Amino acid sequence: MSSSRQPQNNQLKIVVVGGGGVGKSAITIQFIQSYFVQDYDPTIEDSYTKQCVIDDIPAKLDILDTAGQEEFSAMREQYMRSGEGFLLVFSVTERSSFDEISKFHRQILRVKDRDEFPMLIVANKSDLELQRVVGREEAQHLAQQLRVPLIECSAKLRMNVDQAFHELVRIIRQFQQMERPLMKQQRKKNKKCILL
Amino acid sequence: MSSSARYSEIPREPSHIPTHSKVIRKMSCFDAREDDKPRYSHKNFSTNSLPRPGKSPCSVNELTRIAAEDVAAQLTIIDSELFTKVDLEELISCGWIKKNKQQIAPNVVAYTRRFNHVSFWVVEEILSLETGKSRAEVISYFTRVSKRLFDLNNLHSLFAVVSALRSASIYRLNNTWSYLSRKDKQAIEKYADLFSDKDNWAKLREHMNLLKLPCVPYIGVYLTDLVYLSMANPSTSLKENVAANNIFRIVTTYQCESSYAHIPSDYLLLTKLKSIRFIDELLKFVEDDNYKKSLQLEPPNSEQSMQIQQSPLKFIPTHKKTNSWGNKSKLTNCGESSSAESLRNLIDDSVLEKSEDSSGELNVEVVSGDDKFDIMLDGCLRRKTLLKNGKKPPMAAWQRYWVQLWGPTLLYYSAKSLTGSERSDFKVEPCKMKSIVGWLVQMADDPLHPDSFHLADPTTGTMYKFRSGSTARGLVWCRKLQECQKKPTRPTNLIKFD
Repeated sequence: MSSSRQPQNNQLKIVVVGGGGVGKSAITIQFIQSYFVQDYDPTIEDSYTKQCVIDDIPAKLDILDTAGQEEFSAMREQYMRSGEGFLLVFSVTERSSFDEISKFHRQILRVKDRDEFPMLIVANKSDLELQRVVGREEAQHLAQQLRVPLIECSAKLRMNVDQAFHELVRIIRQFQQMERPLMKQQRKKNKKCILL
Repeated sequence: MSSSARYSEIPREPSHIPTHSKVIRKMSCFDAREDDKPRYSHKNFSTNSLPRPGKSPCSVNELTRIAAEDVAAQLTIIDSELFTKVDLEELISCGWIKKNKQQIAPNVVAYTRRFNHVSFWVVEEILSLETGKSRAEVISYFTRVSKRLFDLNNLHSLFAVVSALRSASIYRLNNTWSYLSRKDKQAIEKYADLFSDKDNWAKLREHMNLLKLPCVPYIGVYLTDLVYLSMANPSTSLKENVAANNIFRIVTTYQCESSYAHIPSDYLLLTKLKSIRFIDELLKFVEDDNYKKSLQLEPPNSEQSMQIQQSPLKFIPTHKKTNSWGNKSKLTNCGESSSAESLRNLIDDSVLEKSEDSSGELNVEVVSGDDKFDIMLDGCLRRKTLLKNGKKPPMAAWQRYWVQLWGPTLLYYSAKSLTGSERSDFKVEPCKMKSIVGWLVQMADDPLHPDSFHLADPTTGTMYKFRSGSTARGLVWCRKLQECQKKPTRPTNLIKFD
């Protein structure tokens, strides 16, 4: 029933997940606002879309960030289903937000019914060096464990914000490219594998 | 990584064991679950429960005997009451995203929690039934509830129910969904579409603009808007923001002009629906638990497995994690793991040497390259419950199961007939799945039944006695169980191709 492949066009659905207070909305707004400058209105239809060109290929990014709705945990899986790529955001100043990353990771794979899916872990608030409680190595270790790349960023300083989105787009593209031929190959490969 | 591996990331110390026993649902109603799952709740809070149906696992849920319209109406009374309590100050301060949200935004928190509880309750009600058909009946029932909620403009509970039906645990139940009428599916699709996040929740926003009061709104979208507005204008209060004020005005209008006084309250039903409650800190375990239950009810890729069953010689596994699960359970389902089958390498299908342990129809050990996969053992066992949550059960009978040891997990298949110990005498689908990590295993030291052994879970105080038919087999089971319960819960069928 689950299918992650969308028709091949340039529109990509990116979902930003993470606990409350990790700065999801700050990241999203920083990314979007370079385009929508003044009188920001979050209620209009294209408040969260952005056109950009990444590696010479244009893309229309449709960003879903449920900041403020974190506590409505029961509706999370419903909106995760539509995502083509995920930013898993935690704050380096808050241990619990870091601990939640693997939970989100697991939930996404479950909803997608896959072993891997385009994701990028974003360590936000990395400007707050003094308040940092989640070390770089620790974060890297988790990233390796989950096999998801990691990026340190600071929404406040606008550091690595665009890069995070762009990197995720690359990951999505790579994944979608890999997926298509793989679907055909898999059937051939299958014959090799047997479980008792 | 397969999902079973990911479960192992959950810390295993007693306070975190994500089993049913730890997930204490404060109260329970409409419970048609099997007794097998320890829920302290029944003992403590059963006064509110409706009479429980018989033991038959397939019996249709008690809930569905109540008119869907009534459930929707009473849910609406509850939601409306909670929504009216939401204070504008809570919204102005964005209190619900603060650390002390309980203190500064208690009503937003309560309203949000109600959403989650209703949603989890729906999931549990569906998963409480053993057959796909009966689960489909409950889904169909909730579709009727949804319809009524929609008519009542109760978007809060409507979204909660839709979220439940679209949750990973329910969405994946292909067999269950196949019993659902097209009409029901279309209705669910329609409601899900209303809550689509597409174009910044455009459909929901439009619907809310056009509807005629009374209404119980889903406030999540407003909450996000407010968070964004306060983020975009950090220097000014939301009170001074035009867009925010617009939201406050709408909320106030909904609160003041929505009255559901025309719905007569049904005290009994209202009480029962109010008692749907979970401990919020444990919700994530409920979620994990429900997903496990879902996998157990419909092992992944059962469609493919059915093909295998029809023609056992044809084997079509793939490398998706789900397929591996399916293969695993299915092969035994069609009785292929008997001694007649040679052991095969997981990767290249080559015939492997039998391990020393292989005796009779019992053992299958799968080894692949230098990667050692978990041992699988299966056979007919008889089981009796000696202790359940530290207490002796009032009635304990021997039950026959086909039991599969799969890594650190035991899969039980219930019997189809009164006698017989062949695989074919048991159901194709497993009825229970239990992790035995941290469990204790030992031979029973029962001279009358030298084939018996004990399996105990020290954390919940549960103990079973098993009889395997022969002493030798009992010893093999004991040894294998001991080996497996110690192992980290690495999936037995994890195959890496990188």
